[in-house]
Amino acid sequence: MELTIQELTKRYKDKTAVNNVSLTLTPGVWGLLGANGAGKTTLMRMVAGILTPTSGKVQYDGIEIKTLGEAYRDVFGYLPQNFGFYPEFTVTDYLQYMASLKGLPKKDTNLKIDELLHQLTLADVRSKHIRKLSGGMQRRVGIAQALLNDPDILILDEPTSGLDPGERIRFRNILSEFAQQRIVLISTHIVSDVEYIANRNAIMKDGKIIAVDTTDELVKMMDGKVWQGTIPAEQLHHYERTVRVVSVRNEDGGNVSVRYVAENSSLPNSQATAPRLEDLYLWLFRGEEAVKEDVV
Amino acid sequence: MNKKLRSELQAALKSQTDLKISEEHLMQTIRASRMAYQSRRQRERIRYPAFLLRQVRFVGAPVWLLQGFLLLCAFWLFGFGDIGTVSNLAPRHLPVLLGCFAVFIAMTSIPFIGRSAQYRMLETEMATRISIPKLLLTRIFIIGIGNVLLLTVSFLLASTKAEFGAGSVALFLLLPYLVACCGCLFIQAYAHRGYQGFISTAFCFSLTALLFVLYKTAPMVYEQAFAPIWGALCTLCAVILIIGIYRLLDKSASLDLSLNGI
Repeated sequence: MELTIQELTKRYKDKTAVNNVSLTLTPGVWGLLGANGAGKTTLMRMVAGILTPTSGKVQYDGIEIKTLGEAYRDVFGYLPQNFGFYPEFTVTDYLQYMASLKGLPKKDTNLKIDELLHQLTLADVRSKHIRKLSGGMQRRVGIAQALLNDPDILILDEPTSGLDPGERIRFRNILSEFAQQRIVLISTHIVSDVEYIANRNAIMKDGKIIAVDTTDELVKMMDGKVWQGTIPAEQLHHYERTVRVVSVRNEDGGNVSVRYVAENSSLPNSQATAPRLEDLYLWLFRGEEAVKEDVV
Repeated sequence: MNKKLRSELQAALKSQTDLKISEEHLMQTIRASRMAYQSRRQRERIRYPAFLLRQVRFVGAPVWLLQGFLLLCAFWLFGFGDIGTVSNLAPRHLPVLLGCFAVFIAMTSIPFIGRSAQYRMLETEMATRISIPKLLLTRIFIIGIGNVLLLTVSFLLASTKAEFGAGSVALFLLLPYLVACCGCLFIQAYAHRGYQGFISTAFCFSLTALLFVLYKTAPMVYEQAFAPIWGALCTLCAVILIIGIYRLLDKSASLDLSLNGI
């Protein structure tokens, strides 16, 4: 099973959102990392087949998805970044509606819905109106609809946005189990989400893929560039202007421990420290902050 | 086999003019393809009629409820009551009443056509097996069933009360209905997202006002002599409506084209 993205480009009047992107996705979890406006959502929409590319093609097992048509959407699950619900829908109504759009037989639908509601801890709210649920719960309902047809390819655009750390761990575990023998593509700002479950990551900047590799190999790019130093708190402001600070932790005696990325040690008494994916993100997207989530 | 895929393979084969096909290799390929096909997970999927029936619950129920209310109004207005006893209305007002009622019939579709974009369901629906053009066509069909029933009942009831022929009754119903539908479709396709429902409603009320004004200022347009003009306009509007629906379905297939459409 292989999803091949070949020289995909999407050009609008004033901007090129995706610029000649090529990527081959094989079974496993793929992370798509990038800052806001990098082109991740546009790329995912083209892979989903809902946005027409300016040029290039997407092929599933060697056949263009445009040619496959229904057959491709049959094996495909998609959760967009911004999605809504009809106001009259309860959780069950929504899933039954989506199941009908996916062409699932009625007898299989109810069983599948029950299974997903339990997996995503939504069983207690199955009869509640979706508009009355919290953002995190609504996101889980969205994930449930993407999994309804047991897809071979799952595309999730910012799936963990709004989920608390416990929910994100649960989601990661579901995905890891699901991704065996399937292609899962997740786009996210939350670096820790892909750090722990993605087999490979693609990093996107200004519409182009700038790096593709396993998490470990990508992190190795930052060897010798991540430092930890302790300075008096009043000096922090000065150093923040000269180095890219990853995190700051208060220490005893009015000091702060600073983790930062730089070509060379810039703070006094700095020591090189083991890099993480988050460090690479900050190094590559110097104008953007990675979403720093507690590592649980 | 998928039609598009078949034609692409045939075209590729034709372009290989000096290709010699070995029967033995062909049979091996066929056997291997069958095995590969059978080894994939078998996915049972419902056919379109079953899908249509399931949409009745999600689309049909609310719109048919609304149309049911209009059906009661039709019986009250054209059927059971003596039209002369309804306020200051007289049988000679029937043409404009029919026109206004037809516009209200067309208005029953306004809350339902642009829902996907309004409630941000568009992307999720587009990525499903059914595809947006088919979903839109399903909605139009379900709403259309109710509209056709309403128009038919109004026609039959009004024909028994009218002082003019059944042909004229049909024209007085059809032309305003078609004009309202064409206008709403145009607004759906080109108006700013979020305002389509409001603008369509305003357009339809303006149309009913125009029908009254026409009746007051130029009542001769409702006479038999103008029937051919009504007929010609009906035909023109029907053609515009069909083209409009076709273009809406065509635009809806891709997100960057369909953001206004549905």
